[in-house]
Amino acid sequence: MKIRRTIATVTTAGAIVAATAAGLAPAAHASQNVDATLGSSVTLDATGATNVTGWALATTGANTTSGGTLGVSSNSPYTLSVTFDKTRMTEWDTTLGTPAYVASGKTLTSPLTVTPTRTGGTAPVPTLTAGAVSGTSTLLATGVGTGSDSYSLSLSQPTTIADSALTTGHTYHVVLTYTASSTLG
Amino acid sequence: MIRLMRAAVVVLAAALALPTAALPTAALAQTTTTTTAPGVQITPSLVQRDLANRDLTQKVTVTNNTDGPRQITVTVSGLGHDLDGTPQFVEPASIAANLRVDATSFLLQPGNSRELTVTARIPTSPPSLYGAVIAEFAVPGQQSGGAVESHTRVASLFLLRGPKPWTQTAEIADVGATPGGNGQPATVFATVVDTGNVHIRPSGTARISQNGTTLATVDLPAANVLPGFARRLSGTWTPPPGLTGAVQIDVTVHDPDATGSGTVTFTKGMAQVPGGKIVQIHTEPGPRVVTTVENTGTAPLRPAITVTASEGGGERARKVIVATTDLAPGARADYTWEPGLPDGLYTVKAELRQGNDLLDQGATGLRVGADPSTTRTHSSSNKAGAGGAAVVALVLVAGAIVLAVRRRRLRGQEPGLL
Repeated sequence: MKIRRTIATVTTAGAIVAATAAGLAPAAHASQNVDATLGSSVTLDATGATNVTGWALATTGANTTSGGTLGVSSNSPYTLSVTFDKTRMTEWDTTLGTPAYVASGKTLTSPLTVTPTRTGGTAPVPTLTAGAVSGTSTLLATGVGTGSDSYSLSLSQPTTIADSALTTGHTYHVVLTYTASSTLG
Repeated sequence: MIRLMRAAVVVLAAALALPTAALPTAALAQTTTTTTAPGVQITPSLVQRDLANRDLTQKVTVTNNTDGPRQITVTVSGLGHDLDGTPQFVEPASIAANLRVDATSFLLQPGNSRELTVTARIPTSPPSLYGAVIAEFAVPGQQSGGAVESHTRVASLFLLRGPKPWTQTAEIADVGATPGGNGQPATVFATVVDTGNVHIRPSGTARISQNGTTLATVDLPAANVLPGFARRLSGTWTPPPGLTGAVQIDVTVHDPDATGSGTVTFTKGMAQVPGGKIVQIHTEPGPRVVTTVENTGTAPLRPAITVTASEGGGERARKVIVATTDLAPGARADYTWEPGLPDGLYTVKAELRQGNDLLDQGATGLRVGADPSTTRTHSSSNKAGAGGAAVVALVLVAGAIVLAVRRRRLRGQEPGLL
């Protein structure tokens, strides 16, 4: 984005009139061209979006918890999206030196959903709830202009009696990746 | 008044004090005052260039405006978008050889910046390159884990066109309207497919009529569409509350030119339209590509899914899956394809249609065979067959767009698209 302005030294009507009235010739003026560039930028504040640990799911229920907060600052239209590494929360072995998914592990029946709520700023938040999508981006929010916006994230993981309990040291797990970027225009 | 008088005095004084010589043009001190937003910043966040040659060197700066150090991991992805234009980061990236960054991982202290050098080389064919440089950031030493593990990143998008000649062509794959609900205006849209080899920025108008009488003309603002992808140009329209019956929508698009039309049934001012979404594209050992579709509409859905896998700009495999039974509203179903691709990195695209209606579109990267690189591995990878088995990727459709469009031309002669 390039901004070009010509700054003419002050020649307001009032000044000209005043100078003429005083018997003075109008002041000569010089001009100065100023060129400046302003690059597009996107900033993501994720200090409020930490890992969710110790989430004890009810045997049957909606199971809603906070996913933290995110802030986006941008000087051009932006999108905030989320991707999921799994379509369902999947069995995760925490007893390993490096925790990992269990091969052919159990999965929960329903997908995890992420619901953003704008808590400040100017971006419109889609009414859609992001669902479990693997391999594709899911839009959480679109900012239409410049400034900063903040979002509160709500996570919901429905369960039913058909979902299997896990052995000690195993949990259900999913990775969410939040990405802030410019829009394509 | 006193304030105004003081201002006038200042202005007059400034006018009288003007030098008669031109101001110096150089040697002016530059002072930059910054007000930083908290978080990790990437700039520029969009690089859109038409190049005189095929090479570009671009600086991209990552800045840590948090109150603690951040470990930055830089990757490159391909770039696509959904029907609404939301960027999709195609990973693993088949364009990685053409879009490179000079750093992959570094620690960034609070208040510090790191300038990355991005080099892009546009291939001969197609004469364009679409990708993203992604900076993932995390607190150093932070353990993975927890029920829900959060990763965060910022991206810089690259939309690059090389020297002409370009092929800038478009087709309109779908025309329709979606109800606004809760008294909101309806959205009138035209789904424009970029059938050329560089991105385009079409705009247009939609004429809405019933029984030959024009009800409204709606502007469809311009939007970028990447080659091989489709995007909805949309505008809003408030239909008469009692509008019932078939409504004709005729669309004219420019830059490049294309026309299309569609019919939408209204009931008491509410558009009746099918709805469907690709909620999942994943791979399994085999390799198999599984596409999960959900009926998000209010009527039964008979989906047709076209999946293509492309490599280096050329389509390598394609599958059209036509459902044999209806999906009830709210229901989901899996559709599987075993593509038999040789080892390599592929860009997979999937389209969901019912008849001539393009309902959804998705893209992802697919690796078939072992990953020769030693790049970062999350315990939670998108790659199929976790656990050390060759990562399989897969997927869906591509040239389907062209196929669909061609068949659309035959509409009327060939009922039931695909």
